[in-house]
Amino acid sequence: MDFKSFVGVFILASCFAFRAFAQNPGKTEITVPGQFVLIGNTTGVSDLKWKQVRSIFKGERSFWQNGSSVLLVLPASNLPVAVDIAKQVYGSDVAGMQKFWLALVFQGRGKPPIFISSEEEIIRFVSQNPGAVALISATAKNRASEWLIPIIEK
Amino acid sequence: MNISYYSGSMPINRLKAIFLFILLFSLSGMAQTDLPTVNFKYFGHLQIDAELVEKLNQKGTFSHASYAHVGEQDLFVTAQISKRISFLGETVVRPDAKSSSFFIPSIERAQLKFDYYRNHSFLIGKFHSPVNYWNDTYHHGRLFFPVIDRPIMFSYLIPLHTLGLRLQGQNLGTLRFGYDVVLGNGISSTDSKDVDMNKSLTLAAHIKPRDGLRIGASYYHDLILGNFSGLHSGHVGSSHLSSATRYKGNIRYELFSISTAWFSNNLELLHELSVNRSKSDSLGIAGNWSSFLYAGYRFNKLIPFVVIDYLDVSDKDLHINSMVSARYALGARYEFNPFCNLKIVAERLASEELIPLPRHNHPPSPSVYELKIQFAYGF
Repeated sequence: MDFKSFVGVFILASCFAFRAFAQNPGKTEITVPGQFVLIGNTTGVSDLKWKQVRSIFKGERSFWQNGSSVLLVLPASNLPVAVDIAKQVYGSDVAGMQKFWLALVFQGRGKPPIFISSEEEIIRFVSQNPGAVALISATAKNRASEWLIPIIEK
Repeated sequence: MNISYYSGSMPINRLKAIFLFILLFSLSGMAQTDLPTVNFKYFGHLQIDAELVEKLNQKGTFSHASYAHVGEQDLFVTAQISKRISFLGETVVRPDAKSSSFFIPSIERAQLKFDYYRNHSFLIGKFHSPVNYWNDTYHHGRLFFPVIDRPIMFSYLIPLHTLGLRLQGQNLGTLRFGYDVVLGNGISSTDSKDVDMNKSLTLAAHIKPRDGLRIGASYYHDLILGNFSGLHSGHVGSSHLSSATRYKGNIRYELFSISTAWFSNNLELLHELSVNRSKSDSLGIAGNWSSFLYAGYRFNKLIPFVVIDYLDVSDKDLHINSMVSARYALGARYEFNPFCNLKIVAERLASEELIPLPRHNHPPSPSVYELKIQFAYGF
C-alpha cells in the first residue's frame, strides 16, 4: 500500500467522522432534567445556562469569574441521582461517568472531582468550601436553598 | 490541614531563600481549604501471548511460543499544591530484558502545572510529547488503550517524551480549541542532561467540535546532534541504528502529525497520520510516514474492532532503520467496569525488511502471527 492510498484512507476516515458529526447534530443534546438542582458556594454567578452547567461538570472550566477555583462534587454510585446526572451530563451510565473522569485526570487535563456518597454530605461540603459546585436531587432542594443556583434557558 | 515545617541548621543562600519564598507563597493557597489534595492511582496489565514466527529463509516454516507476562505497572499521583499549582507524576515499573530482574523503574511524567489565567496553563517537567492523540491521551494506561499495542510509529517516529517547558490552553471557545507549545531538551537528551543548546519545539492544536470528537494537528522540530538519541526519547532500540554503525553527523528531524479521534456512544474511530522528514548532510532528505487506523463498534460492554497499521521508512534515512512494516489486527474489548477490561487480538505482522519490531520478543522474521489476551486495570 503506497502513501497516496493511506492519505486516501485518512481523508475517508476524516469525512466519516465529520459525516457522523453532521448527521447527528442533536444526538447528545438533552433537555434540562427536572430530577436534580444545582448548588454552589461563592461562585460569583447568579444563574447558569444548562449548556454551561454541562461544560463545568465536564471539567472544561478551571476558575469562576470571581477567581475562585471550580471544585466539582459528584454523587457516588450508590446515590440514585448519580444515574440521572451521568445520563444528562455525560450521556452515559454511572460507569461511563467514572471512566470519563479517570481518563481526564490521567491525561493531566482535569482536576479530579470529589465523589461523596450522601446528599447531606454533599450539601455540607459545598457549604464549607468556596468554589464548590454540585448537582443534588430535586427532593433535597429545600435542605440546600441557601446554595441554589438557578439553571436558566432550558 | 497539618503542615509540618523542617527547621535545621542548613545555611540558606539568597537563591534558596527566593525559592523558599516562592514555595511558601504557592503553598499559602492551601489555607483556603482543608481538603485532601493528593490522589494516588494504580494502573497495570497482565498479558498472555501466543505466536507463530516464520523462520528466516524458510518460507512457510514457523517457530512457535506461548507465554504469560507481567506488563507495565504504573503508579500515578496528582496533587493540588495550591489554588493555581498542581503536580502530576507517573512512575512505571516496566519489563526490561537487560535488567537482572527483567524490570526497571522509570519516571514517565513529572510535571508542575501553573494555571495562570482561566484555562491557560504553564507547565514545567517531563511530559508525553503532545504530538498526536495517542501520546497525549493514553500515556501508559493500558486500561484506556482501545487495543493492546501502541501504533507501530511509536517505536520509530514519535518522540515519546519531552523534558522542558510547556504552554497549554484547553476548552477555549465554542469549538473547545486547545493548544500546546513545548520547548524541550529534545531527542538527544536524557532525563538528567542535554548535550547541546539546540532545543526541540512542539506546536500542537486541536478542536473538539462535539462530545467525543477531537481533531488535532502538530509540528515537531529538533536537531539531533551527532545523531545521538537519549534513553527515553523513544528513538532507541532495535528500531534505530546502533551506535556502532550509525551516521555520526547531525540530523534535522521534523514530524507532522494529524489525528482524528471519534468516540461516540457506539462508534469508535481513531486515525493517526505522521509524516517525518529527516535531513542529513550525507544523503539529504529522507521522507518517512506512518498511518494507524482503529475502528470499533460498541455493543454494550463488548467492542469488536479492527486495526490497520503501516510504517514506511525511507532507504535514505540515517536515523531509523529503513523498513516497510504492516500490522493487521482483529479483536474485541470487553469492559467489566471502568476499572478493568479484557482485550483479545489476533494479528499479523509483516515486514519487507528483516528487522524485529521493538517491544516484540520474537526474532527477525518476514511474517508473524500473534494471538494476545490482555487484562488491563486501573483504580
